[in-house]
Amino acid sequence: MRPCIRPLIPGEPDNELLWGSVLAAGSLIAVTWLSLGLPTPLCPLHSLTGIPCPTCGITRGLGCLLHGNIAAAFLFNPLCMAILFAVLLYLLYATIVVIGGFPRLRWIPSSTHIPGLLRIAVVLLFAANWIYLILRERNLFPSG
Amino acid sequence: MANIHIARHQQSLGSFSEEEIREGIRTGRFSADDLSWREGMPAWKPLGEMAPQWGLENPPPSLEVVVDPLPASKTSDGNEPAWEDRERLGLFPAILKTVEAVLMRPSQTFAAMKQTGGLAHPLLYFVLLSSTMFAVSAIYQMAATTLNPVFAPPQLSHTSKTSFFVAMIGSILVSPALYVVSSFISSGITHLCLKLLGGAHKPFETTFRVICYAQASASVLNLLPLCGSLIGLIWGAYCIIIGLKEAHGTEGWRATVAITLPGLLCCGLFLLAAAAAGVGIAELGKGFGGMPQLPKFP
Repeated sequence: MRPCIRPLIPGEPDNELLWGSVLAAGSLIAVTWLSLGLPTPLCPLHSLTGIPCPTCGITRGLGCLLHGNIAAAFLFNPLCMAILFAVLLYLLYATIVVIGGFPRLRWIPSSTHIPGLLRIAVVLLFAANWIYLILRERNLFPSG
Repeated sequence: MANIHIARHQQSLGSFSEEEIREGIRTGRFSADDLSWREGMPAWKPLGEMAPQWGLENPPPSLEVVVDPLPASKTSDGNEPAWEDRERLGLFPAILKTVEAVLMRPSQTFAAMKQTGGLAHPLLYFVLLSSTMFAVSAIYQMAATTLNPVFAPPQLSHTSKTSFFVAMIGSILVSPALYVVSSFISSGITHLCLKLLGGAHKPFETTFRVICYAQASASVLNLLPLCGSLIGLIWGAYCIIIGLKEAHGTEGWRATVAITLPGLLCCGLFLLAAAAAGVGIAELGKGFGGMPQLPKFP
C-alpha cells in the first residue's frame, strides 16, 4: 500500500467532503454536549469491576482538551487522544482540499485486504493502551 | 516516466507502468472506456484518448475483462429494497414494504440489495424512520412520566416537570441531526472492523446501506410500548449481521464480530472475559473426566 496524490475520478465519492462534514458535525456536537454539562455515560465495566475499559478516559480527556491541557488529556487515554488528534488533522486537510479544489491523497492498495501485519499492530496498540489504563488505575502511572 | 493510474466504475484499479498498460491493452484487461490519469494531468481522461499520446497502441473499445483486479467490486446490482422505488410505489407503501422485507426476509433482501446509487436514499430512510420512532418513544416516555414520575429517565429524575418536557422536546428536535452523524460514524466503525477482520469485500457504501436499512427498519419496533426498543435493538443487530454477511459475501462470524467488536472494546470486555472463563471451565472439566451431568427432567 502506498500513497499518491491525484484528482477525484469522475463520479467517485468525495470522501473528504463527506467525512470532513461528519467529523466536523460530530466534534461540534461533542463540544456542545460537554460545554453544556449534559450527562455523559458511565462505564459499566468500571462501575462493576473497577477495571477501566479500553475507551475509559475519553470524556475526561476531552474536558482537559477544552481547557487547553493537552498533556493531561493524553494521560487519560493516550491512544484515543492520538486518534482524536489524527481526526483533527484530517479535518484540517479535508477543509483545505475541499475549499481549494486540490487533488486528493489516496492509498494505492496492493490488494483489497488489510495486511496481516497491520491487523496485529492495531490489536497490539489497543492492548498496550488498555494495559496502560489498568496500570494507571492502580496508580502505577501519573494521573492527569 | 510516472506510472499511469487506471479507473473503472468510479473506482481506482491501481497504478501501472507503461509496460503493464501495454500488456493490459494487448490482453484486453484495459479498454478504451477505462479512465486514465498520470502526474501532471489536471483531470482523468479515457484511456482510448490518451493511449496514442503516450505512444501506446489503441485499446479495444469494448469492455472485455480478462483479469479484474477488484473481483469483489461492482458485481450484480439488485432491486431491493422497495424504498429506492418509492417514486413508483408511493412513500408509505415503500416504507412498509421495506420494513417488512428487511425484518421478515433479511437474507433475501440484502442478497438482492442495490449496491450502488449513492448514500442519499438509505440516509433519508434512516433519518426519517429513526427520528419518527425516537419521537414516538419520547412521547411514550412523557406520557408514562405524567402518569407516574418513577418512569422518568435517571438523568432527568431530579429535574422539574417543565424542564423534563423541554429536554424531551429538545431531543426530538435535534434527533435528525444526531441520526445523520451517528449513521456515518457507526457505519464507518463497523466497516473498519469488518476490514480488520478481512470481511469487507465491498466498498463503504454497502456497509452504510445495510446499517441504515436494518437499523431504521428495526426502530419501527419502538412502537411497542415498554419492551419495543430492546426487541428492536436485538432484531436490528440480527438484521445487520445477516445484511453484512449477504451484501459483503462474508462469513457470519466475521459480520457478528464486526458489529460487536466496538461494543466489546468499549465497556463490554467483561462479557468476553465471562465467555472465556466459561470455555476455560468447560476445558478444565474435560480434563477431570468431563463436567457433571445435569439431571434430566421427565
